[in-house]
Amino acid sequence: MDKAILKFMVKAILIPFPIIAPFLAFYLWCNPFEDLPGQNSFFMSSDKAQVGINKGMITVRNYENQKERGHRYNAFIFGSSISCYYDTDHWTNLLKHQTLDNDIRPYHFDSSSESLEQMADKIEYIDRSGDTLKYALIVLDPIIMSRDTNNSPMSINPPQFTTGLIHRLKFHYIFFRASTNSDFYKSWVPGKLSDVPYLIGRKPIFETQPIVYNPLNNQESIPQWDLMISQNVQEFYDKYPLIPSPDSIKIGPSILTQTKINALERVANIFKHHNTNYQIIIGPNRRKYALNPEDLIILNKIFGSVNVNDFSILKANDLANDTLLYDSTHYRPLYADSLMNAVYR
Amino acid sequence: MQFTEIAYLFFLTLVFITYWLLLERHNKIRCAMLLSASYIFYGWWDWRFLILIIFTTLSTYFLALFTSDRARKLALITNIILNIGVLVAFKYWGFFTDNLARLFSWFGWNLDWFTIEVLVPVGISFYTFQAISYSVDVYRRQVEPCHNIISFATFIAYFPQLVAGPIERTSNLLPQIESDKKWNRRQATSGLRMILFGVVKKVAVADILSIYVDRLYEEGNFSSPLTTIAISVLFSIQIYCDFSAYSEIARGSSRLLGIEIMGNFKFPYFSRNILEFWRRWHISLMLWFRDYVYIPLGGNRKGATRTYINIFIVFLLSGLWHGASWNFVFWGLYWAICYVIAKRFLKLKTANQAVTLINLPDIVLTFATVAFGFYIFRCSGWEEIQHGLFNLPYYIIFTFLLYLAALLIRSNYILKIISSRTFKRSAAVTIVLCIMAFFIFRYPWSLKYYDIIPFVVIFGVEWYNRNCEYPFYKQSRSKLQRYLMYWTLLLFAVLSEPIDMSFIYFQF
Repeated sequence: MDKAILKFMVKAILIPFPIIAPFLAFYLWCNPFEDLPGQNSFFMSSDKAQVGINKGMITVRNYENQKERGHRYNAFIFGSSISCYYDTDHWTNLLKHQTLDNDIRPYHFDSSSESLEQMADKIEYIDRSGDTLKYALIVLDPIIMSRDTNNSPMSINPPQFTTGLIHRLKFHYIFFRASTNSDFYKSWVPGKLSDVPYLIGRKPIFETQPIVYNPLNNQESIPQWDLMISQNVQEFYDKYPLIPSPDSIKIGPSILTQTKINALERVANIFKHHNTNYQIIIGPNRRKYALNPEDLIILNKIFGSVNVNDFSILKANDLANDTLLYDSTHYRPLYADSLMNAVYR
Repeated sequence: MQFTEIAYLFFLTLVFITYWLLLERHNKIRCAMLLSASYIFYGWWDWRFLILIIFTTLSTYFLALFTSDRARKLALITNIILNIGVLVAFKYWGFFTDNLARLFSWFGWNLDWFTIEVLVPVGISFYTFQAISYSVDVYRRQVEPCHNIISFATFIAYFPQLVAGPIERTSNLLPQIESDKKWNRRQATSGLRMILFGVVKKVAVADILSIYVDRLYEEGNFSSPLTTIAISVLFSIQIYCDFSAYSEIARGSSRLLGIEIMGNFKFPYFSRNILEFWRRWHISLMLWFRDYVYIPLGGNRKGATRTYINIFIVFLLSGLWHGASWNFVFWGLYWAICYVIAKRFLKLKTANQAVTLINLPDIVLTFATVAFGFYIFRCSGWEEIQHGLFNLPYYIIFTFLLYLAALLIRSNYILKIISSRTFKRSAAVTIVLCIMAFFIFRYPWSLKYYDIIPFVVIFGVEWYNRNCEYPFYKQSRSKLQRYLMYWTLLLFAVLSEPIDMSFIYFQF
């Protein structure tokens, strides 16, 4: 009977093989989302159509590469993609002015759409890898704070943050599925043939922003768009329209569940262990969606009110000004600088 | 762990290997392994759910062991109260307290302290009903009480059917769990086919349709008749493909382990009237209500009026069973009214009478009736139900057009049209098809033609097997044709968009 069962199992594996194999080969050969090991350079050219890549994966892979080259970091900016246009040079200058410390080596440790739990995993990773968390800036947003951990290709934590083979397999499986479905091919095939970022499918796969990337501190910038905005504001926002900003501020319901509170406490404990000099910024957003006061009380309780800076109500009307934004979610470096100035001066 | 996740594939493979290769001659240990696997499967959702299922298992098991007549009755009542109590506490408490609080707020009284957030364990509606079924069957002496706690626990927690049914009967499942199983290649092969078919139905049809339905809800244009029609049709297909996919994967997984569980769907959308529909849709639940509610209430033995009252009770309870929400209550009420009318004026066409093309107009009418019910089922508020009712006349016109198309298709006239090339009749068919195409492809739902291809294939397979036990029952003798079909379905599954969408009936 064993032979019959084994024969059945072999057949069950062989029959799907002609269908699965080409897709597997495509994934391994083309590596569209660059999730497979070996890819060490990102955002090489802003002229070609580039598939949007998991920023968390870029962050940690680049971090490890830089460390191998002898760079060490002790100052980190954490947060979702909203934090990615916070200028590390400006932050470093503010810190130097405040602390008179000249040994500040910053690194942008951001990920797209990360939840608080994912951020805590990230900070624990840095702690585990033996690096010093001397300075930290956490950039939050009330809308993104409410999100739970997301295992989509853009948001899933890279395997370095979670130990275990299962997570690593799950990580690559998610990208395998993301790169071998019809919705992906609809945009990818014409995009790669023409080098124009096609947006045909239900989910956009190409990076639309002409990002300039600094691997030394994992900093992203969009000088091309900054120039366009400075030269012709109307033309830029006609091309990249923003959602209308509402007239009134909306205070959302309390979002800090016990799971999120536990994640924040993990972060606070690590900061305490490293004696980290840190600040938390809760920035405003285009939708004028503000942090619930109950959540602010919790944040103050965990981190101390001197370290928490809630601008979601105070500066809620600022982002009604289109020129402060690249898109409806991400504000430009000059606005990020103003928030940092308000915190550190 | 969803059935369509890669983790389930590894889990099932591991269970299969352990079951057949490592524990081939150890049936008792096999049973314990199956129980452990079932608890791992269930605990994967949330380990806290295990506390409740173990409580249900132990209380049902020990209460059924009482032997004296008086004790048996008391034990039965206690077990029913316990299981219903658990169900009410976890599933309906919030519904009752919210509505009570709303009622009191009309008088200016605040009852916020009374309402609490409760985590509803996955599958609770299914396994509590299965436990009640066991208790009643033991009381009625239809089955002997089980004296093996491991077998019984496996019966309650059996992972293929734990989370979304079918609600199995003791007489069918428990003996199979206790008995020694022999490897049956044909059974295992058909199990794999069922799993493949179910997976494709879920990922390539149900999940894709969910995108369109969600989009319609996001647009919120409920006053438009087109929205009512679109939601009715699309959601009906979505929920059928979703739920029947789960049942097929469950049945297929169980067949891989040499255990037959009952089919929960028998091509319900090919029903010729409503009476038949409710013998083909969610069969295990309707049988449960028939045997444990309808018949004990008197069934149809106490006159027409009492029969209709019993029907109302069954459908209202069935609506409530689905969830603690007014739309489910209205759905139950809708079906109670439709069923009573159907019972009064129609005759049941049994499943033994083959479904043919001649029945197409009846199938269309039945589907339209069902689809409007699912519109109500999907509504999240009274306002949406109201809009649906206001748009009912347009819905009836749409149904009439489909009925007309069905009449033309099923009649010999269509063959004469093709052979005689009469302009008038050709034009009539073309116009009807254009109207149908308009409804399918037109804004606001903008269904893409490539999203329909998997549905057409699935529907084709189901129509081909409509008079059989399950889809894929009939197999081509040609190996190449069989493999081509498998590869086509696999292609649909691989090319499907990965949408993070759990099975609809998991929430019940």
